[in-house]
Amino acid sequence: MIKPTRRVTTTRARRTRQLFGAVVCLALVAGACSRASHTQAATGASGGSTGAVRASATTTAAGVPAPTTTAGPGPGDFGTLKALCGPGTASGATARGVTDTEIHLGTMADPTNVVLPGIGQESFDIGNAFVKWCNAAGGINGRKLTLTTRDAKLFEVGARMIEACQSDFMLVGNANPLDEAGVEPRLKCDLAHIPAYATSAKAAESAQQVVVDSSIHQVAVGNWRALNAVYPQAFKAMSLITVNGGGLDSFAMRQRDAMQSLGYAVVDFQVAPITGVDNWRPYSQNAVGHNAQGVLTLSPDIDAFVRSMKDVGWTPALLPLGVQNYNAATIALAKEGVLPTTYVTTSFWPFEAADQNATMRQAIALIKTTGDKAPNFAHLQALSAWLLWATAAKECGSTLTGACVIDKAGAKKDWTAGGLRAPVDTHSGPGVLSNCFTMLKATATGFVLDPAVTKPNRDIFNCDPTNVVAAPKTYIEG
Amino acid sequence: MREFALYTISGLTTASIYAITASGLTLTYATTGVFNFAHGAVGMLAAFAYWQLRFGWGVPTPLAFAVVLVVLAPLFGLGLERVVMRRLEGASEVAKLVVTVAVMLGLMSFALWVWDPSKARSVRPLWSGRVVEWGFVRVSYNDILVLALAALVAVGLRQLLYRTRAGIAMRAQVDDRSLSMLSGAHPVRSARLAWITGTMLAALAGILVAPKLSLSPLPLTLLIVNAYAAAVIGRLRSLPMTFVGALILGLANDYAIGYLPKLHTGQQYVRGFLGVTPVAVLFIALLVLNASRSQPTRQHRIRELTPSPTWRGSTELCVGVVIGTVVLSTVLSAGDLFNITRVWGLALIGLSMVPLVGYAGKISLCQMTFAGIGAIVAAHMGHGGTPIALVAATLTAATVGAIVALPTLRLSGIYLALSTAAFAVALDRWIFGLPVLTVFGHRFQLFQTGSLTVDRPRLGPIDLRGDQAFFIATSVIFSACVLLVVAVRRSVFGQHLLAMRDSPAAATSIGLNLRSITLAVFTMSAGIAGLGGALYGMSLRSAAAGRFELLVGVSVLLAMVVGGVRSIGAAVFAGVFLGGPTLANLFPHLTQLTSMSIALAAIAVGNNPNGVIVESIRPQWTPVRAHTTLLACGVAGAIAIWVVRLAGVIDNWGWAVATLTLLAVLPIVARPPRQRTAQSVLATPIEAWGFAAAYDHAQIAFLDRALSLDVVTHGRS
Repeated sequence: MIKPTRRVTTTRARRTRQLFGAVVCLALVAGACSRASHTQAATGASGGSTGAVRASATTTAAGVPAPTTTAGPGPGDFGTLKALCGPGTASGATARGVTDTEIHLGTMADPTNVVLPGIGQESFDIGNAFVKWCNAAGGINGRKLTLTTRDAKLFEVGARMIEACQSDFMLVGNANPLDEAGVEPRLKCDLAHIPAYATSAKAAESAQQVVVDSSIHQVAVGNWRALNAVYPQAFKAMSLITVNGGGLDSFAMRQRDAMQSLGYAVVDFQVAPITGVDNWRPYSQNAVGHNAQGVLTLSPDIDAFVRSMKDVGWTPALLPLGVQNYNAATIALAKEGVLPTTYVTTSFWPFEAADQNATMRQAIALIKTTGDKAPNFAHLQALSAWLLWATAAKECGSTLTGACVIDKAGAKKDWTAGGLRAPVDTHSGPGVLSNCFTMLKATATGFVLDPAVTKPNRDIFNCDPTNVVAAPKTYIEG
Repeated sequence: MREFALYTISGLTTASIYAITASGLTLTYATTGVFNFAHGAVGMLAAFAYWQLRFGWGVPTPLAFAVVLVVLAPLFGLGLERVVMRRLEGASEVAKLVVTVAVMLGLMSFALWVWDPSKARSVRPLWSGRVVEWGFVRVSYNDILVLALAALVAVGLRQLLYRTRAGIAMRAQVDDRSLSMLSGAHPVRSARLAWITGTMLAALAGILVAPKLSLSPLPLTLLIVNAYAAAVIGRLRSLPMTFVGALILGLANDYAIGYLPKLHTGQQYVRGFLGVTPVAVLFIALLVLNASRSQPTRQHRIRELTPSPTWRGSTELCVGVVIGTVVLSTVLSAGDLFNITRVWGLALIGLSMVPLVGYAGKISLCQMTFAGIGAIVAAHMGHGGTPIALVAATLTAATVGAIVALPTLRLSGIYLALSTAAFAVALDRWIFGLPVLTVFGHRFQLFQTGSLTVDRPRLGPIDLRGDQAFFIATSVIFSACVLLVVAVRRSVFGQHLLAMRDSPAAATSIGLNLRSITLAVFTMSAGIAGLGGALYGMSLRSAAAGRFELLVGVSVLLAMVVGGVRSIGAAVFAGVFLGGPTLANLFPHLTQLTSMSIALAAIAVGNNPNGVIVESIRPQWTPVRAHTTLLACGVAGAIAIWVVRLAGVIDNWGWAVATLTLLAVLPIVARPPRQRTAQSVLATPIEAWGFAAAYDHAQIAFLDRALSLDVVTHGRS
């Protein structure tokens, strides 16, 4: 059903990843400092109840005898990934960090940085929780996992990478917005990794890694097509507002080109300074001046912008947002009554639909073991990386090497992380986008799935090779 | 026309907020002579306090407004005056500037610490979504309130300054401080009132702007940069002109957003300009307004020393630096070693401030920008590791330094600081973010995609690509530059620099050409900074534009002033403190500790204007250096500890503890003789020396030391 095209799909993940990173680095750097709202996901009403429903999954994982019924999951199952972790007989010191009984891994994020403290904590939490869960089930083919969390504080990625080179078999679930500095040291010491996301073009395109659902050569357009069917006026006069720097402007230009190639009209393209805008009104004014009917914004901070629309008397027909705005702040705006018709697009299974997805409930239960932080998108990205790593490592058995894991992890057709996300093909080195998406509408009471717009053809997702197009130009200069 | 009217309306709201905050800034500067860089941070804190009351705890809006504005803000202003600002009386311009910058960084750290930045917060405008319509013009209720409050502030300040005794006393202070004191005015009372009013205005602006920005510390604090421009247009004295300045600024900003995108060519280059409109206005105002040079520097009680470094001391420092580097490079783990290689690059950037800020008294806030230029040049020229890149980086940065110096030659003090800050911000926000440029057929991409790869040099058999070799080589380069700066200080040119700082008028009267001296010192300092930036970039291997941003440069200046910007050792201190293993490594959970500690240390600069090196470290080590046996024992001890470490008997912690203990013990052991000498020498009052008996050796040695005369001259007595 899904062709393994070299350049495939999803916008979301990659957009987030870029935004996420770009925003953070800019923040640091230029001082723009968006609030870290993208780290927060909305806590759907489903969160609480599903946690309870799935508590059994964790209990079994923690060593309580698993139910013997065939319907119940085994202790090492994660969704559709059966017996992912469990006893086994793999042996041999096949690589650095690997012994007969143990696999030493690392994960790198930046929670104690001083600029945006806490960013990437999800990666550490998920890493620890997954390792605990997997070891309780018996480890990978009987080898126990040990994990070192490496805090790069944003600016010390290179140094942490060199340290990881001394002891770690691989790095998994890394979440470093400033990942470029790690590329050379990592390749120099043959340290393979499966990060949660890659930010810089250099990191996204580097070897010895599998980055899922990420590409600078593609643009995901499926959500636009779907929205265009319902809100055609928006795409006849679209305004695109981005911020300069950090790769966001080149990302926006690829989006603009893709829109134009689909025959949509981008009537207004504005670039706001990343250092913060104290008056969004003239930007809205410009968009109104061009009679824009839809607005696509990559600005991390939409509050003030959305309010300024109201001030100038502009109610665009449509505001499509990335997953970085899949959070409580967007719902607060909807409650305030200033949000136009707004959709967020994601290729992960939405928290709001967890009741239809046992894997999602298992994931939420796992996330809840890490503390009281609301489950969010960053948790899912990191967990997805761990699941991919564990799947590949298990397949490698006694021939566990970085190259083997990357080969196996980079050759999955229709990878769904056990059911956490829409299918995507994985590749080693530069990745591709998933050609599936689903959309949620922001309402005053929360996000709601909108099948009428998404037109799902695979569970709740709309999957089609035409949902992704090649970017005419990357705007990344070598 | 209709469009123009709409941009004007929207510009007026922004202008109102600028006017409120800039009038507070002007008021405090004019009355107390302290240009408060923390003004924006105060507003930021007020916005957070308002959020906490209104949205965090659900206090009704008017009450929350009143509590922040009428209770918290005045108390904070009072505290600020009492604890920090009052001590700045008589301090140099650099000390004043650094202290307020430190307050700013301290407040930002405080806000980050109290309000978890990973949690989204939003201040809703009042009457969200409700607007007044007149024809095509729509103004929200919130904006009408902002306009009304700005008008109220204007009227209120006028009343305060012209109709009240306290206000008239403040104006008297501004006009002539000495005269007003002669006629019985109470400067402390006026200053207190100015700080209270200024803080309230900052708080008001902070609360009003919060719904228009994201509620996070950095953007709210940096709003102040825009207000600087308005205040400068008001010549830092005139409130009506400040309001005019705010108006120009608010309108210029919105017209730029409205009309710049309509340009048909060069769009990709102009785009980033939107972020620097206020800075451009500031720069033009500084250059155009005649009055900017008029502020005669008030005569300070000089509390500052500029010791002349001796060759022996400087050589010892350099040898210490190189040996310390070699020792460190052999004991550190690979990751730590990679991290610490940046120390000497940063130290060089700090060193570049010594001649310029320390000797010449010219406050430059763009040294880090010169460093950024050095790093860019090194990245582009240094492919494959040609050492020419370092030379090119130095020369390019020096050239840019000269170009920056030219228009600012006649500026000094706070005006020079502001214009160099404007230059730094313009580069940060605009030039460094430019897309690919083609210059003379050479494609240049500054920082657009985030970071540049900087190759480390390789010269024939000398390969500096490894961390160890690079670390040692940079320490040698740093030491060479230290000796260069020492040579400058000891030359006639160095004396010219000091003369210019102490009294520009006197220096001119003896025939010095201050402009050429300023130009020369700016060029030299920018060159050193460029070299430092190149080495810093090479140590990181991949340098992002954010590493060379204004606030980073300001932290280096802060560390330099804490160390003592007139002493060379401060550069070592700044490099080690900012680039070395920071406190954060020891206390990973106290993330704000490093920034808080440097901020607090810098706030203390008001008490201790010569820096810790001159006031604490050097006096402790002078006796050690004089005591040859002890010094030899110390060196032997350090070597022994090192050997033990290399043999693997102790680990790095053991090594560090032992070495630090040794360093702490040496001055203590050396102290008794010194104290004895000092006490016996000072038994006779210093002014009585040479009367009852001829000078003895101890007295001459004491005077030599106090006057920083070369040790060699001892023989003459």
